[in-house]
Amino acid sequence: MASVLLAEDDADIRQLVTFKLQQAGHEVRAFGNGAAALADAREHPPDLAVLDVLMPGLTGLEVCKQLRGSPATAEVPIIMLTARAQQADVTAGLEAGANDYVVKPFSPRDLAARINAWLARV
Amino acid sequence: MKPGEYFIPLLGAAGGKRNAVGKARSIIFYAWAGLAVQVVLAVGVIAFVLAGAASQRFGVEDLHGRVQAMQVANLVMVSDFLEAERAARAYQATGEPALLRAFHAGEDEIATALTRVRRLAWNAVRGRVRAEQQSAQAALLAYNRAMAARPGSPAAGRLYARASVAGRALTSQAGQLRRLVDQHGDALAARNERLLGVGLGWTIVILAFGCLLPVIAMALGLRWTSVPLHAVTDAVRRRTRGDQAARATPGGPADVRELATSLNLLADESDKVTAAELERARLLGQVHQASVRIHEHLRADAIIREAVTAIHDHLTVDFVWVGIVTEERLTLAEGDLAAWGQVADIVGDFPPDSVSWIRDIYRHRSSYRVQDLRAAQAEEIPAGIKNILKRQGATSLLLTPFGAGQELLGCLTLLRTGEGKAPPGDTPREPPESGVWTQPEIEALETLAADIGRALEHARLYEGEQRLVAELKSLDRAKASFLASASHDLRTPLTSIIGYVELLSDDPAGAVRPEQASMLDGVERNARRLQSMIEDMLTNSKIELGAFTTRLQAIDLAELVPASVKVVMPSAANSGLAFDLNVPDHQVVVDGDPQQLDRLLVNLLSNAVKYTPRGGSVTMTLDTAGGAAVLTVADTGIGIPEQDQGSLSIRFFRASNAVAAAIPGSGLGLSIIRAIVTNHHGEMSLESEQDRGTTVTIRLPLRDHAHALR
Repeated sequence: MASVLLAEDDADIRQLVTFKLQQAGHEVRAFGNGAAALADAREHPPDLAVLDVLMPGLTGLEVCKQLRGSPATAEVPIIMLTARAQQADVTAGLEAGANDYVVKPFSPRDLAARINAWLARV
Repeated sequence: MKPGEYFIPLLGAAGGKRNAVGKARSIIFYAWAGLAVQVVLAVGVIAFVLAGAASQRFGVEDLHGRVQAMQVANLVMVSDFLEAERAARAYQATGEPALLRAFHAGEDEIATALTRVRRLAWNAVRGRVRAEQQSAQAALLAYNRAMAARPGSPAAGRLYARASVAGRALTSQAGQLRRLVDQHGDALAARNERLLGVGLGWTIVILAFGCLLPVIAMALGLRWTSVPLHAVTDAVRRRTRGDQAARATPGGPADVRELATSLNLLADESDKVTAAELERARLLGQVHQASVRIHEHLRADAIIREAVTAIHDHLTVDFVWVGIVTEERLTLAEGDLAAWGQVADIVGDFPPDSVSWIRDIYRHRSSYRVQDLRAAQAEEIPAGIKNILKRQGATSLLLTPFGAGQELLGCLTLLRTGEGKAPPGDTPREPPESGVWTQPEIEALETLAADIGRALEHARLYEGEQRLVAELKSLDRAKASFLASASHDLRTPLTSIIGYVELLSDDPAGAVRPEQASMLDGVERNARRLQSMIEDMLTNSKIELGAFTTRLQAIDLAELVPASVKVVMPSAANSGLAFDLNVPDHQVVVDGDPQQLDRLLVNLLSNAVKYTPRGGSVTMTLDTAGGAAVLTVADTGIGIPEQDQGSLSIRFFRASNAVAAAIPGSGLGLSIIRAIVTNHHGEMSLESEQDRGTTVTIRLPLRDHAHALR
């Protein structure tokens, strides 16, 4: 059982991902904005983080950078959720320190498989 | 030494201290004068020769008349005396009375001869003649006494002897007179000779002078005439060679002098015309240069500043100001132009009625000028303007409007106060006479005004263009940001729909009944279709924005193709189509953008499935040929009408039979396919026959081959 941090401003998607990951047997700590997710990650460093790129306030990219900047979370696998499949966005995510990205709309099954793969790698 | 100064007007100088420059007469006058002098000279020579000849003649007559007559008379007297003496001696011997009578007759003849001698005598011989006469009287008296004595007596003998002595004295006297007269004759002959020689000499001298004089006079006269004439022709020649300063110095006869003066006047006039032409060319040249600089600017204030600088630099002017028409009012040109002289003071209260007056001038494409503002001509200026001009102390005004087409944009107003402030240029020019505007100046200003009008029009167009560009750029940004947000906003709800359908379909969420599973399939299929349409729209927008860039990486089509087919397979199965996929069992690696190639395959297959009716078949084949991956999608669908095939690359175009069959579609699929193929340096071809089917063939260069080519 792994602890997964989820930051996603859309409540439906947040619930969808939470449901799927809990179904897969993970502990999910879900937040509607970047700041709250970052604060939680500092208190309880997760095993893996799933971040939406475009969020009001602190964006996923910024959260990703800050997580990488903190020693406790520097090695945590990070998967970005992006609605923009343009190469520039993907590159920006990877440069910010993300390990993988999933383009919306995505298959929850697919996402869960990727998360498992990353957790298995750690 | 100037021509014409170094000679003396020979004939004209005869009158005394005549001013050689002031009172010269015409050539004809001098010709007549010369002739007259010749005539006088000829008459003089003739008179002199005649006088000489007469004098000669008198000299000869004197010699031959008086001297010889004198000698003859003297000889006759001596001969008569000797005869009378002989008669007296014979009488002494014979006492013959006849002899006595003969003696007395001889005495009378001697008296006659003596009288003749005395009459012929001249002053130089008169004394000798008188002495001869006394001797003759004395001799005759002595013989009369001797003969009065008794012949043969001693007294008579003595008296005869004495008479004989007197006789000998007389003959001696006569001889002396004869010698004297001879001497005199010789002297006379010698004088005649001398006179003849002198006369001849003088005649020759005078004749020579008479011959030389006209030659010299003619030479001097010709020189006097030809030198100033030559000066005239020389001046003409120098002028034709371009020496503008060439002038003929007036000299010589009055008509030649007049010719030179006329030529100089003509040259002065020509110089004035040339100077005016040069001035015009200079001004126009400078205006053209200014025009080039004016057209370099695209801002109204810069244009006007350049124009005002050009006017100050090249025209003699005291005040320049540029009025701009703004809402039917003439206002000073914008910017810091108010700093130009006292312009600001003038323009502040420029009367509003002036605009219509200036517009009227502009319609006639002309300038308004007043050479003297105090004159009556100035009456037609609007009173408001006139007051301002008066206040400025202006003496002359030149107002040139400028505009674009029929529209008056403003006017150039130049003032002179009569002091003629010269421009700062390096060529000092004459200050204009009492502020008069010359034609070249007016032409130059009108040319400049036309250029200002054009430049301002350009500036206005440019400004409009700039505004348009700015608007379009902002529209473009709005569109891009709309697309970015649309991309996000449309995909987010789709994520939930597709995700929840998947959760529902998955067993762990709880079993669904078969009919419910079919409904969920319908939801998912349509969500996928919606997703596909959104992707098409976004891709198309990217193509339109030129933002459709590719990141090429090595891609194995033998792997990618089946994966993409898997997405389309369900809808193919639902449509009751036979689907055939032929992929080689080796790698087919190309340089590609995975997402774009995925779109390419999905679009190709979607089209084939969409346009192929139930019972048809779709065949997809991947192969390699000629260094390229060859992808063929063949269907047995409705095909594309021949007349529509040329329009397939037009975005949003749909084939007429597809529209007629009410098959949904955006008309973007093929144009996106074409853009992706182009991005991958590939080729695409399409064969289609209506109701028989369509075959699309795409060739993409193989990675190895492309590398080999590089």
